[in-house]
Amino acid sequence: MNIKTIIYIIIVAALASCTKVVEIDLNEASPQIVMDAYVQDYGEDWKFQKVNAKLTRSMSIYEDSAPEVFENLEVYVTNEQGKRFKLDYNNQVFMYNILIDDVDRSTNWTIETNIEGNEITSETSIPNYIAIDSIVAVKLPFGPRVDGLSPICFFTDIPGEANYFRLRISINGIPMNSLFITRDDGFDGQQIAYPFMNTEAFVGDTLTISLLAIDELSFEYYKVIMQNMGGGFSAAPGNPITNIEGEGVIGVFTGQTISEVTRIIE
Amino acid sequence: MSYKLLIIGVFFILVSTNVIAQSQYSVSGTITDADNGEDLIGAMVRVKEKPSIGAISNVYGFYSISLPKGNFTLEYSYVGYTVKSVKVSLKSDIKKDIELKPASTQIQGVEITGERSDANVTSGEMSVSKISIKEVEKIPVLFGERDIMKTIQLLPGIKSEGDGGAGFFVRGGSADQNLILLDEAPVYNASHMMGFFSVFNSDALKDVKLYKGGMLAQYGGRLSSVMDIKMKEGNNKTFHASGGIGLISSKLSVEGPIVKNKGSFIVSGRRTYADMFLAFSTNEKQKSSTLFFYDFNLKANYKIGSKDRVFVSGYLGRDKFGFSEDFGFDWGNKTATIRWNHIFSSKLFSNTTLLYSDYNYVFKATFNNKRIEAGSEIVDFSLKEDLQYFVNNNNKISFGGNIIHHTFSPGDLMIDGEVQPDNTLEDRYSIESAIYVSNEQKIGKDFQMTYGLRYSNFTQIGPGTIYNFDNDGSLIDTVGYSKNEKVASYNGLAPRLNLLYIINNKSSVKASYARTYQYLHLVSNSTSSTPTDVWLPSSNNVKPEIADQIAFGYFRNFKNNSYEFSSEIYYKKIQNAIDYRVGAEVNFNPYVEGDLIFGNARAYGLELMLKKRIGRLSGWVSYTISRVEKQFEEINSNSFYPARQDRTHDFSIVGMFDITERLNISATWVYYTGSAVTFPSAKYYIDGMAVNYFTERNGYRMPDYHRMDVGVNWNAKEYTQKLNIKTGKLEKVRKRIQSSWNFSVYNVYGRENAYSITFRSNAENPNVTEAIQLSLFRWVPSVSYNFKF
Repeated sequence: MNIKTIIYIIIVAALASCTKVVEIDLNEASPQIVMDAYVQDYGEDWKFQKVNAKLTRSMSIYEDSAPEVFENLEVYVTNEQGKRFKLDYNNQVFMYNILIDDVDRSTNWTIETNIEGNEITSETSIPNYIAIDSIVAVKLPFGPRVDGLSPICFFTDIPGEANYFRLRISINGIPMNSLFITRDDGFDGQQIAYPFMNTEAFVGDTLTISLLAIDELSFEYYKVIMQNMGGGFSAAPGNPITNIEGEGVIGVFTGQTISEVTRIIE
Repeated sequence: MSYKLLIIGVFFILVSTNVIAQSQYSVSGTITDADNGEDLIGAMVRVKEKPSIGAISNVYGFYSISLPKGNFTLEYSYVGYTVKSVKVSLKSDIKKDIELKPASTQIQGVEITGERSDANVTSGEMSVSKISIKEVEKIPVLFGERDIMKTIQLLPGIKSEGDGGAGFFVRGGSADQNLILLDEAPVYNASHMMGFFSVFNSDALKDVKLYKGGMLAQYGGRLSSVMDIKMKEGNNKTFHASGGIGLISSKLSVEGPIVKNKGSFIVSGRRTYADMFLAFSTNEKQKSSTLFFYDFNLKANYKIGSKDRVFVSGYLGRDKFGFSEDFGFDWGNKTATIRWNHIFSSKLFSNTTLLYSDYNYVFKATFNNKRIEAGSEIVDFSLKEDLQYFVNNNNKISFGGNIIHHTFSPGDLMIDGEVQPDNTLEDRYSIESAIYVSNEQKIGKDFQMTYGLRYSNFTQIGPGTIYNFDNDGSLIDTVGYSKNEKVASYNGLAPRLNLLYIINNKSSVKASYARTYQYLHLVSNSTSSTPTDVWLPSSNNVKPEIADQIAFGYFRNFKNNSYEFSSEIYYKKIQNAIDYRVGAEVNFNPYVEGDLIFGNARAYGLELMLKKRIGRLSGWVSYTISRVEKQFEEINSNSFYPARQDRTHDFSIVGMFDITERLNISATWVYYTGSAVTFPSAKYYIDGMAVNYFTERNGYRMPDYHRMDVGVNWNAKEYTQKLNIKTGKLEKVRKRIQSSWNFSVYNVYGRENAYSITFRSNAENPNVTEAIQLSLFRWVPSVSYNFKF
């Protein structure tokens, strides 16, 4: 180890910031019922729409178990034609696949249930479908280390309307547990390139990217969650505005379309 | 309206009853340093035959004293300078320019502070913080840099934003409520490298004064404080240079006469080289990256005849951060000032100033073979006129006005040099103006009052597309305005009052009241000031913030003014305070005004300080206990809640000890209660991600902050022995180059002070949530070599 390296290490060690786990005494909030639900359309080529709802309870910040899941419930969705569907429970989730042949494709949806005597309802609208144009993985100047590649998703916005997006990414079948959102501000009707900045892929990896066009309220919901995740630097930390109605209920009911592309990075 | 007329009427009655025509003559002129020609601010003129009469030189060194016909002995004094006595025979007005000779730098351990020794008790100003440049040079701060901004935060009522924070808080005010003036030009971002250094090179500075309250009528535009920084004029007798070489930065100042005794200049420059450590990297892109800042101060002045003097000063500073050619972020300030001092008569002094100020930041990136630049800017052009009329020895009237044209460019986007109109926010324009008048009046020998009025106007003008929002922040209207068309206008009448009662020659009580208006607002989507914070003007949606502050104080000196004690209590109430809706977006948001919410704030506290000014051991202890609270309908059910900058206890100890004439050691210890912060009270899961759930804003506290810094200053020998060829004897001769070494350690016991605490899922077990504390600095040593010749 030469002197330059030693000096570099000393200086970096002296100046480097440090992180550590600390214990903070927190007040206990009264438990809230959480609805995490969506109604999803796959585009005109697909003949069904899917509804999915997971109902859980909030918990103490330091609790290290999975959240309590509500199981024995009757959860219904109603489309804009007034047709009502009861969701089936399977593996901690209430879900239903609605065949489009049977009913008209529906944009506006309502969900309702009753939990512990609380009537819980919500409404949402599915925005217009937007497809992924292509996905690539390239070396970005401010991307991951050494030979890592940054995935980028290309898609074309619909002109003349405000559009909001959420993206998901998985590499080799392992999903990235992060929020990626954007909107078409300043790019109305144009092709948008969304780079996954803190994500690293390599040649030979199987890359799957999902583009969800979501409703505005859901976008605002996820935006606040992201701001609150921002290293504690948000000047206005707080709970996002929920579209769920009911006493002691939080969460979001999202209307979304999905376009998904998988490719192997070459 | 009747309230305003009453105030104006009372003001003129008070003034007019004291303007009594007598057969008085004036002695006036400027008081300067005999060695370098610098104006001496606050120098004292006394009349030996009439001890109750005196005058003090203003910020340009000008004084005026009125006396009847006769013979008098005038005594000119300034701490650290030899008193000069001048006999005058008054039959008409006399001009007397005085040069005072510095006394030897250490007379029985006298510390040169450049202020009257009894100023703590006898000055009519209260809630004013002053630190001499010499004290700044001794007190250790981060990276060994002399830093006026960091040092002044060791005084009561002035709180640091914390490690890595750019701003400071004065009596509970937020960082944007401080007006920072460099030779009268506003500086919008007074820090380099995210707050690690201030933009002010102490080698170029002459005087720094911070008003925490009791604002004089000539100041306005910010609620909480005015930091008035004056640059040196430059030595108008001989050429000199001084500089320093440190671990992180180097600096150089050169000053000298343009024409001896008539004009001078000073140029100071500074550059860091933190990026030199990147040269150790094996990565080619990291090697070619940049991380540095530079700043230049330039000032020149010239006397035209005996009544006129012209000054030109400027500042240019820039921070540059770049990763290879691919990504860059830089920001900085530019200011320029042209000033003209004119002495109309022995009683009327004028200062006319033309100002320019610019702050901007730019992000640069190369993406998809395109060069992208995004940034924001604020530009001011301003004209000011300040006059002082020395009515008599008991009345000094100050009056004047100013007008500022602001241009705000909140967000520009360029791709390959072409502006992208769809992604560029429109510029905003406004005119801010004010007129003021005040009188500093002595009533008897024990009572003094300074009263004044400031009337300001702020008008937002077109061109532009202006949005109207309802109380919920929803856009309800969009209106186009043509060039110079009025969009919104606000007026403010701000009374100012300072009272002083001298109990005896050792103690006094003071009181003050000031109303202030703020028309520019810094919006930030972060808990800490950053270069990307955006300045917004008051508008159709954003009303001016208004503060009313009262303060009372008791001041006492001990042991022949070698100890100063001050105590002040204050209460400040703010209307139209600004906070943010949850989810507010500040940057590049044309609808940002809809993300703001408006409410009230209040701040109150007690400040105590004991200072030892003289002796081998000098320094001070300061303590502040205070509260800052906000109230907004949308937050915490409209209850008062602690503001982010609320810190109950704030404690500083500063000590400087001269071990020998050449060796000085200094230390500071600071402690403050952790800032108010918002932590989650529960968590829930959305799409497999843990999400924080909050029950209240600012309901928790960061851990308490404390640290100790130490520094050692070692001066090389000032004199050397030289053989006098004529006499054949060895003589003591002053060395041409004076030098010193400074060694310091910041945070000497390595406390891990919390910069932030965030709650995140454990990477290995996502069901587990951890609180992660980030600390910035532990032990930071530094060494620097300083020289002057």
